[in-house]
Amino acid sequence: MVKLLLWLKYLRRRKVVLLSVAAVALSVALLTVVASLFTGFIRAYEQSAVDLIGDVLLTTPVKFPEYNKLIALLEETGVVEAAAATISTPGLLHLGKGNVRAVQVWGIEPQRLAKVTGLKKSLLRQKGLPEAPSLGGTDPNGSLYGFVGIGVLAEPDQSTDRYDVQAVGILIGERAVLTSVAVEQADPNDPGDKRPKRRTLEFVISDVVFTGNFPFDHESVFLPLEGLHARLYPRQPAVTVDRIQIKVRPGMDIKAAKDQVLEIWRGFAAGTLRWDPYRITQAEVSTAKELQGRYLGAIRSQLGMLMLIFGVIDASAVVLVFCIFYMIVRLKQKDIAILKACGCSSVGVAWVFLGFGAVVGLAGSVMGTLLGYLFTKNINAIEDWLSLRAGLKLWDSSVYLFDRIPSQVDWGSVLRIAMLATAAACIGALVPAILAARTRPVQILRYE
Amino acid sequence: MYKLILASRYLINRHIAYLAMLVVALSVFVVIVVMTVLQGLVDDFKQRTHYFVGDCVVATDSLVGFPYYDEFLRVLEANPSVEAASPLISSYGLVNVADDTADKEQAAGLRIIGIDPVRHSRVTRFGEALHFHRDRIEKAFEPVHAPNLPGCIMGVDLVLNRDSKGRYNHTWAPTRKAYEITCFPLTAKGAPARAGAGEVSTKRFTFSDTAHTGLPREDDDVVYLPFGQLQVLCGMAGPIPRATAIHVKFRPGMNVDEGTRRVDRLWQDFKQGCFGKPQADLLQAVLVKDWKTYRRATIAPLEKEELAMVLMFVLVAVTAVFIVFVVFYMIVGHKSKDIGILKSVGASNAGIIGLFSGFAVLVGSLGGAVGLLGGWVFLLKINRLEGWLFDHFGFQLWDRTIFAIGDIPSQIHMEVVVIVAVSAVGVSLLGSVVPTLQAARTRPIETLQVGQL
Repeated sequence: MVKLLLWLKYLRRRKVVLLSVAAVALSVALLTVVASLFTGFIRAYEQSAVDLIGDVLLTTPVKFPEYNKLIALLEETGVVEAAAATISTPGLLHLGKGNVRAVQVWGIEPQRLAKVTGLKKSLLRQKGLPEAPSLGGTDPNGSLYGFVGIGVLAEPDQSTDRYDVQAVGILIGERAVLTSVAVEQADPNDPGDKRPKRRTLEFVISDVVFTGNFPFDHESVFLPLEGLHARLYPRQPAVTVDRIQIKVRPGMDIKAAKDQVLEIWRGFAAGTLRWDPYRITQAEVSTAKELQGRYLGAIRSQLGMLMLIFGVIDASAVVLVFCIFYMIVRLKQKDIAILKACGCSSVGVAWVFLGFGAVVGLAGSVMGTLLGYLFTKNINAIEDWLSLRAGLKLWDSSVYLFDRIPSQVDWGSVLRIAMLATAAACIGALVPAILAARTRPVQILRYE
Repeated sequence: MYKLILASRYLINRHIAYLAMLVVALSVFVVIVVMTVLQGLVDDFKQRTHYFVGDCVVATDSLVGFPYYDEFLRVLEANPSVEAASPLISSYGLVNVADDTADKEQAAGLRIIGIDPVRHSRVTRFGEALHFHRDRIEKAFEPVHAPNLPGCIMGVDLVLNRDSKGRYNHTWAPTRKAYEITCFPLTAKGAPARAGAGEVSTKRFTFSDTAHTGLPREDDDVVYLPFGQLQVLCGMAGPIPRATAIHVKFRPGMNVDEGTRRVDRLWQDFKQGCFGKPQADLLQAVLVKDWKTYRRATIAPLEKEELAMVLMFVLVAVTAVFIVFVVFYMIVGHKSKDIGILKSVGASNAGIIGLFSGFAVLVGSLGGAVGLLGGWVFLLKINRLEGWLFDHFGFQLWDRTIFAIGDIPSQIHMEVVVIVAVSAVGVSLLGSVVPTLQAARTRPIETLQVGQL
């Protein structure tokens, strides 16, 4: 009880203690913001991969037929919720008047793909509709319908980094010409003689894709799988694919699901496709996280380095706490001597100051956490304000991949930071607490 | 005189002042190391960009290009401010490995740049980016194993992987590989040119060299072709040939901004002179920019990150100010009798302020000097340290297989040193303001009173 009274008294009377609380709060806030931003970016990147690819991806060295059978086998297991086949090819998209863009063209089955990825919520026109997304078949001229990434059609505004969605929406219904390349057997009698052939096709833009992932939005075109395949490989009647995107049932272990997918693929490739063992093993089955693993590992490394740098500097808060507590102990020597004279033990006196250090650390951590939380949660509004008022655009989607700064507070990191800050404050108070404990009342209370 | 003596005495005898110095030294150390590395990376990137682009660019964003570029080249080369000029075509194409016998298709949509290597090397440092033809730039597009075939130069990251030290092994270069390159030929009105007699949009080129510019986007995404060949592929050849850009190098001593203004004036006059000629409307979309403005989109984000780091260090400085404040508060509190005696023998308020301000300058200067020295030594050894950590623990600050970085920059810039040193003294002075004023307002009659019960 005495300790509590003394803590409150020192907190009220010794205004300089508030400095140490402020220093701890500032350090905690800075580390909270940095940890949350980096962790938020990593999470957004991982989630973006899942939204675009699915949970597991099977890619094969060459295209294979009868993919519907494989999908049926996968969906029969208890672990796969949905699977969708895709093909991809690079292309040049001509939008008129010298506007040519390099794109990545995806052949998809939109209803299936919408069950595996976040395709539907990315479509500007169809995201609000109850039915599954559709590419729209073919128009009366036989042209395909397709989705185009928003970044292919327009650039974001330089100062706000926002797309003019209405202006882009007007382009729905416009025609575009796509040139791509397909490797085909040149000599029917010589299977080894394969040549790249240029393919040109026209399609009508039926919707716009806006995922928030800048590179993806900047280069993606989606066409119907069968229609694209027919135009790329007119001599191949059966549709062949080289990618299966898979969504795992909620609650299932992704790694275990990946192993099961691999097993099913091996059985299918050996039994149905009759591939040789070497070719079967060339196929890759990866989780979305594994595909991003190396890059995110490098980002985590950067986060660790930044936390270390700021942590070292913020350790100066320990010095501040030490100085302030040392000053208080020197000034309050008479109080301490009276306490000891009344029977308080040395350990008890030490605990008064250690506990006060913990209180300062805790108070600073709470304030710093609150400050960090408010800043992180409102970071996009702050960035918008800086961009509009000061003309300073700090976050650019073309550089940092996403159109919004991740603003989720990483509570795991916050808890660790707060604990460390409290411990640091206790460490700062340790030496003054020992000095206070060693105070000899007879020397202090002597009348001079 | 007494100020200097007392300030030095306080520094030696008041050990608590060492804490303030330590904090200032630590902050200075971290700031100097981080800012040197960051600024080094930014400066390195800017320098490589400058080397890649030249001093000034006359260019259009449209893939249609603009005509009469050859006439303007003659105008430029006749101007005394211009040392050299080079035409360039920038377009997009599909690149496919032509003679791949495996089933796997290896097509990619890439940027295609058409240049005259000799001319371009006079304007930029393109020649230094090559590997096999660095000393024979005129043969840059001659494949090593088949000099008679048309050659192409690939961005180094398109054909080779970086090892863990960021180096490329050119023994793995695909010196015999051929590529089918398909471009989208456009008419002067921007419409796709229909394939007709003599008009080809696909051509085979054989690998002749790699280009390592040190710029990630260029090394990963660009194929270079002979200027004339790409002109044909893009439909820009013909009676009125077109190009998409002219890169310019100024004579030594010419200021880039002034040179760009001169080129702009020349261009405006030239444009006026072409009024009424066929396809002259395409000249309206052409702009003259210096290299920094031309590459603003890639340079600006790095400069913003530098700014963000500086803002974060301002917060760090605030903590240092707090600590200096507390230390001086303690010292002033402890020395109240000394101050009372000084004032009673005639020291003025200004003198007391001078004393403690001088003490703050000493603390800030010494702390700053220790921090700068520590930072300098650390930066001197930083690459060796990283090498040692990588060899023993597999740790790298930047994974060289992902990030296009060589050695960590360690060259300290004098302006950074001056700014940091002045800031260290400034932080010290700022932290000492309140205790100093408090000391100046001390009344000797109160501090020299005999202790009361």
